[in-house]
Amino acid sequence: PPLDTLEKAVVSTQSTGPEERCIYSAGVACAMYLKHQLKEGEKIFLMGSNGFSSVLKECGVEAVGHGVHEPMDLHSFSTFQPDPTVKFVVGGFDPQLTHTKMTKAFIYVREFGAEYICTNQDLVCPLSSSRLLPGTGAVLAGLTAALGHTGKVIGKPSPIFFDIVAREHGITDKSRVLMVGDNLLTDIQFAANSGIDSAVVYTGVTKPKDVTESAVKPTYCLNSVAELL
Amino acid sequence: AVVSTQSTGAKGIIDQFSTFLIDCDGVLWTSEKAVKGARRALDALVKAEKRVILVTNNCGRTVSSIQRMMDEILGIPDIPKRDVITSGVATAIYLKNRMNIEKEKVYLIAQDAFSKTLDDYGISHFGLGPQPFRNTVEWGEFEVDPSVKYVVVSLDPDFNHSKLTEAYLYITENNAEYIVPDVDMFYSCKRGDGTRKIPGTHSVQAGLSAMVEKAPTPIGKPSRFIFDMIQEEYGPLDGGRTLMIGDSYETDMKFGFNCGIATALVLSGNAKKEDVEGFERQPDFVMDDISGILD
Repeated sequence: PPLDTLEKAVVSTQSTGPEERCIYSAGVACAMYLKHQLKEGEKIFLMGSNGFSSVLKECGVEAVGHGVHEPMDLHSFSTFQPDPTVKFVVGGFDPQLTHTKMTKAFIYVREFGAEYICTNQDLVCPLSSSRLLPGTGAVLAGLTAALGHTGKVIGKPSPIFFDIVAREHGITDKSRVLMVGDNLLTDIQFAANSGIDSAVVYTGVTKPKDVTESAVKPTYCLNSVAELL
Repeated sequence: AVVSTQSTGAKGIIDQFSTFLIDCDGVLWTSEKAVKGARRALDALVKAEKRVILVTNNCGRTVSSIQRMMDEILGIPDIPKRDVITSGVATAIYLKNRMNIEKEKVYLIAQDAFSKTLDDYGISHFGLGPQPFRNTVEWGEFEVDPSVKYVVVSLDPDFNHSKLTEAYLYITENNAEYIVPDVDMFYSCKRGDGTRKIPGTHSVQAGLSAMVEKAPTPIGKPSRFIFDMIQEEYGPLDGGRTLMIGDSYETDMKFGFNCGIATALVLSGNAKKEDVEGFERQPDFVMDDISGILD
């Protein structure tokens, strides 16, 4: 979601507004990662939502390719000429990702050596107890299959996300950091990968029996965030 | 020229077989231009009254457009419709033999030619073309039509999250059969003097296949379905005197191995000479191009 939406949600739950950035989506983490990597004049090819696109703009990252692409048949790709200033291909949840757009991303990575990063690889996101929807991992699966790899995952459970946040806030003592989340595969795995403690809350997707069956174990199990007090 | 052969016979290759199953792209033509030696080889096959059956995974072309290409590019004006098998045709025949045509529908993710092919067989389908994004509220309210019992997924330039989700819902909520006409990982298009590799049908199927638990029904090469289907529909073939000629190890050669027939790999398309020694199983013949059968 766009940053201003997240910020409004946080401000509404506390009495004073945030003074420094304290909300990081995987999109924000990608934008910060790219800011440190891109040189003057270098751009990215973006497969992402409008929210992701605005976050990147705010961080001064220039993107090409965002939005809807005219469908191209296979033979039209003979004459496709990529933008030579593109150094990264960036994948997020893209409602407008078609096979045509994905093929361009493939050409940037395979032929022109662009580095491929993505926000996450979650295969599904639950809509309700009975219906699942494809997640970013499913949307990007075609590119993953064609390239033979997922690209560098920046969001949870990657420890890169932790490094980015830790650097921004000058966090050096990992023993004083706690990750709180409801998802064993993303939140708790992220904590394990980053070398920090974790607390799973049962107010979301995870129930006690899932923790028993899981290979990754949280440090603490809580019924809700209220139990932190 | 024949590059290598497992055969010890003195006869020319063309004399050893009565039936020739031939792949199209990279064997007979590349991007609508005849491959060197293709015209000569086909003339010889016709003259020797051999049975020629085109077997292509490419469902982006209709049978009539392939018949036209055979005429215009290779000078063969009268290849019968039943001897042109695309994965689209094979899928249509598979469906025609199984579905309740009056009551059941197919959700189709494919190009226009596939849609026309299903129309030819009277198969009711929908889903072709661009599909706008639906948000979570819309997906929550989406009613799954219970008559959709088949989901067919092939290359579609418009394939997106919306189509992926709709296909997923028919498969999981209707127990619809998930059919993959072809699973090609890459396609090649011409780029200057060489080729450019681009993601193929497999990239359209990858997300869906990862999300559903049951394995899809394969139709095209390397599955032997087409070989069995040709015989069921049009009469038996002499397997011992049938040769599969193709340019791809993963689709054409494995198809030949799966059917228990002889195999000839041409180097005028996908496969390169350097790939040959790395194959887990050697084709019976390896040749620069299809005119090698005249040697």
